[in-house]
Amino acid sequence: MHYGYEIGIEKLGNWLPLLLPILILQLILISVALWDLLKRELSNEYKWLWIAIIVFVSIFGPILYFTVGRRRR
Amino acid sequence: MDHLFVLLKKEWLEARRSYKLLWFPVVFMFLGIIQPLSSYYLPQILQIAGGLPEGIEITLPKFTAEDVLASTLTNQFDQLGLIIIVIGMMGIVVSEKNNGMLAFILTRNTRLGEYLLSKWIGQAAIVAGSVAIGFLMAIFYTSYLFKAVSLARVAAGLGVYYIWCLFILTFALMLGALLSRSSAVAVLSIFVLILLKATTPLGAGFQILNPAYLTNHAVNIMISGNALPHLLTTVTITLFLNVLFMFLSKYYLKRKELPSM
Repeated sequence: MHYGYEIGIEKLGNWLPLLLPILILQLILISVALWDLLKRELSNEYKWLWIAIIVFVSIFGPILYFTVGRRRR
Repeated sequence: MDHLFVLLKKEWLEARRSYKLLWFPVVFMFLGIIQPLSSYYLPQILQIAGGLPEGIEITLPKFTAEDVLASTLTNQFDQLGLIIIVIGMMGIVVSEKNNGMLAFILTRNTRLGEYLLSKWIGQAAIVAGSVAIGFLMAIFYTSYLFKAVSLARVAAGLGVYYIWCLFILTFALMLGALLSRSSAVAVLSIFVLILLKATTPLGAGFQILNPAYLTNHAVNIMISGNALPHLLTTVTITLFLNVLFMFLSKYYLKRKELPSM
């Protein structure tokens, strides 16, 4: 029994075209959310909190920002 | 009707400003991609997620293309997708009620019915576009990884599913008219809608009346090509409930809002 799973580079090459759209979608969401957050006038503390949520909570972070985070001015 | 057009333009502007036009389709595309991919790479995913002890042989089911599309509906769109729709729709009436926008719009000689209708049409269009584009991604991936599917069947199933989406939307909109906090709207509508979904496996006679059962109809149409019995009754009841919800919210808002103006 072995722990973890090694993905060879050549195997990654097979997967990448299929995974790429997911990455692109994630990047679009993250970058638009960050762009909107940074151009707002908010306290730095608040901004850092949302940056962390947007970047590290995958897919749900940007959604939370768009639905909940943008309402506070 | 002139008012309705102006209000619809306002809806469009608002959807663009709030980035809803962007994140709604993107999330549904994401959901649409995930299911075919994870069905196809299930063996590898199992290995990555800890690996099977040696000596264990499991036979993974062979998915057909229709199965994958159907499970996209039941596993992704109807769980995460439902929550996303509700979260996206929870603030649509509540926020305008709270910040005085609704009262302002009504001073402009607009009827409450037109206002609600513009909200409903705008959001229904966004949901329709997002679900369609998300499912299109699922179809692309399924035809690439598995095999091509009959588009007519899938479109028919998706059409039936969309009626359930409209029910989700209308229900959230009605709660938005009745309640005054968007978090309450979200929690209550997710609770009720998930409850409706949870009763579908029981499969008793009252499913004819259950809008959530439309997903089962849609899945059945996609997999086998013919509908379960009583499809039309369920569709009619769901549409009737939608209209009823709209009238309920209109009368409630009328009674509630106008005196305070």
